[in-house]
Amino acid sequence: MPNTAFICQEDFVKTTHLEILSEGDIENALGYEQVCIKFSPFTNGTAFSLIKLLRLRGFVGNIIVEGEYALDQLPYLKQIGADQFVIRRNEFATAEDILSRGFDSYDTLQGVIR
Amino acid sequence: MYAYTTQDREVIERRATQFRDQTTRYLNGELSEEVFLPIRLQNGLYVQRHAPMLRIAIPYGMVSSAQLQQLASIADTYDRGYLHVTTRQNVQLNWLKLADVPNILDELAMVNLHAIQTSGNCIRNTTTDAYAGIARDEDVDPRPICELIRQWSTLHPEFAFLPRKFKIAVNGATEDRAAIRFHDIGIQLRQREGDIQFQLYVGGGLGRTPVVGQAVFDWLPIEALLTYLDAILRVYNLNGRRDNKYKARIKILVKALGVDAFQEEVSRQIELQSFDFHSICKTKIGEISQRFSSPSYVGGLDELELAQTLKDTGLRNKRFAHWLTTNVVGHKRPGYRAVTISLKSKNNAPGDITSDQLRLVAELATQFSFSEARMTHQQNIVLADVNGFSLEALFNQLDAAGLATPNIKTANDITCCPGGDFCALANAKSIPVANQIQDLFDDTDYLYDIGELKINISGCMNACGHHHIGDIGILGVDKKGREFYQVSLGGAAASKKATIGKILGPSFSEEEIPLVVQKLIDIYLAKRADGESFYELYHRVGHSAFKEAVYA
Repeated sequence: MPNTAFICQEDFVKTTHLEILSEGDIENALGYEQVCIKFSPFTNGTAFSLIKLLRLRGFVGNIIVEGEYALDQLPYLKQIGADQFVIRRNEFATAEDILSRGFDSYDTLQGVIR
Repeated sequence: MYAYTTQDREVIERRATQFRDQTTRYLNGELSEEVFLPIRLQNGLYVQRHAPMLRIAIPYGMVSSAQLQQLASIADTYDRGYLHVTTRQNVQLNWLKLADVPNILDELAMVNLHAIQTSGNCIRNTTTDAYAGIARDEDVDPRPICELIRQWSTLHPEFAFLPRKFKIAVNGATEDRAAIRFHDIGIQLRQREGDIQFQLYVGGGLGRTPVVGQAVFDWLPIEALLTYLDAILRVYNLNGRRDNKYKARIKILVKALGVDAFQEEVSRQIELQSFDFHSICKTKIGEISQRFSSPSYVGGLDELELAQTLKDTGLRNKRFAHWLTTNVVGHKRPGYRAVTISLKSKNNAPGDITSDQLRLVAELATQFSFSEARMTHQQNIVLADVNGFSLEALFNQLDAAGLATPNIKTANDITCCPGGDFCALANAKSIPVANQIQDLFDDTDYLYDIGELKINISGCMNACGHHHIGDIGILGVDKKGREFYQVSLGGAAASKKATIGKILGPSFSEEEIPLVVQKLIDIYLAKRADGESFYELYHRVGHSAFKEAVYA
């Protein structure tokens, strides 16, 4: 059974998603069922706080991560509140493996969203 | 010392396993150099001038005898039989093979050690007073708070890719021995009617743009600490500059916004916090405090009798007397003393210690100081809980191993980065300069006549040797491909007099530096009033008096 956390890049259509680029977009997001956070480049960790803010502001819809994030960031992205990740078709096995190796460190202190 | 829980151990072990997988993928070509870079940095691994360097975390400087033994064993097995104590109370191995690092991490994990977040754009090892828990002027023991911050910041999913590195220091005493105003966040603790309160300095730091941190939040209840740290880090992560690494630290953001606007941003983030940080924080501090062992001190030691004993020993052993004056300080428990083991002996790279010496320190810590030691940010090692009546026995063993150099806080106790001999970032060497300055003070009577004097040397403007906050600061600069040194004067680390040193003038060649330092000390000795420190004299007579004499 395919892992529903992953969306194949080739199948990803953005029509129904709002793209969150900055804190200012979060207010608008509250009316959407799913939003998209785009990384560029992977070292720009602003996206982590945007995901966290979405959850803090009460967004309960689907958060999709796309762009130039690194597969090794998947565990952190999942912990912070992202639901789905756009990846290339040939990355599925590695991505699943990396996600399975992820672990919570001190989630209670870090306000990790369940 | 804090006793690790199963959870604490699991975090370290799982991170070591995760890093093994990442290293394997990198070595197999499955992980790009670009992606592996921040991963290895966040695990303390640099690629240096000669070989990979691994920086191992010593949380707030506290280390056990068993951990020291393991570090010595790792230094022998995988490195060249020594290691280096850093100015963030960590230790570094300089001559490793990348392929060995996963095994080293497993061996470190066996004794609850790791290299998590000792580098990279994340929250680094929290530092504190090397005399935490034993200082006579201490209001609050900062270590449980440091441990709380360690846990909160370890592999924090939101704050692992910040605009730039982030350093936190905590002080709980009247005198600031943790340089809290030169950190991204400096935390001062105090006790009021049985409750702990904190004050936050934000936006301090050394490096390319040195800034003295400002008090941004004053005297809040300790259970609000994580509320504020979480909000400050989020404001920084969202708004810190990412377009220019030299303007990416939080100090630049605080300056750009202004303190009032920064406070407002933090308050806005606090209002959004949905979980009860206060009660989580309060419960956790209670749990952590319970897991700090309290040394079983011998009761009833007589201070008067001890003073007489030490005086008598000093009369028949002058070396002991010197060491007692410079390397031993008072303790809040009657009859106890804290001993600093100097890693600044002549011709030694400041902060370096051999594996044999490390094993001896481990044994002496077991024998004399409840199996614990502390790394200091001045790059020495402290045995904090020594029975005063055992000082002579301890001194004799240290002395036989070359570890009783009586020079703490003197001009010879130089803080110094590894510099151009090891570091790929350095503009100039720093260790040979330190050794040449130490040659000026071969005569111990002369050294003691000068008294307390802080000399700091950095090989580049990243300022790992903290040159901005020395009485005399020396910075390696590149001048048309040649190594030169810029001198600054009048800096100070402690919060009440926190000052960034002022540049003396045009830079000097390596050969000129000992003469320059000699001239500066000559002026100090000639002009000082009774008991006046270098810092006090410099700020009394002014910069030009020193400048004129040096460049005359």
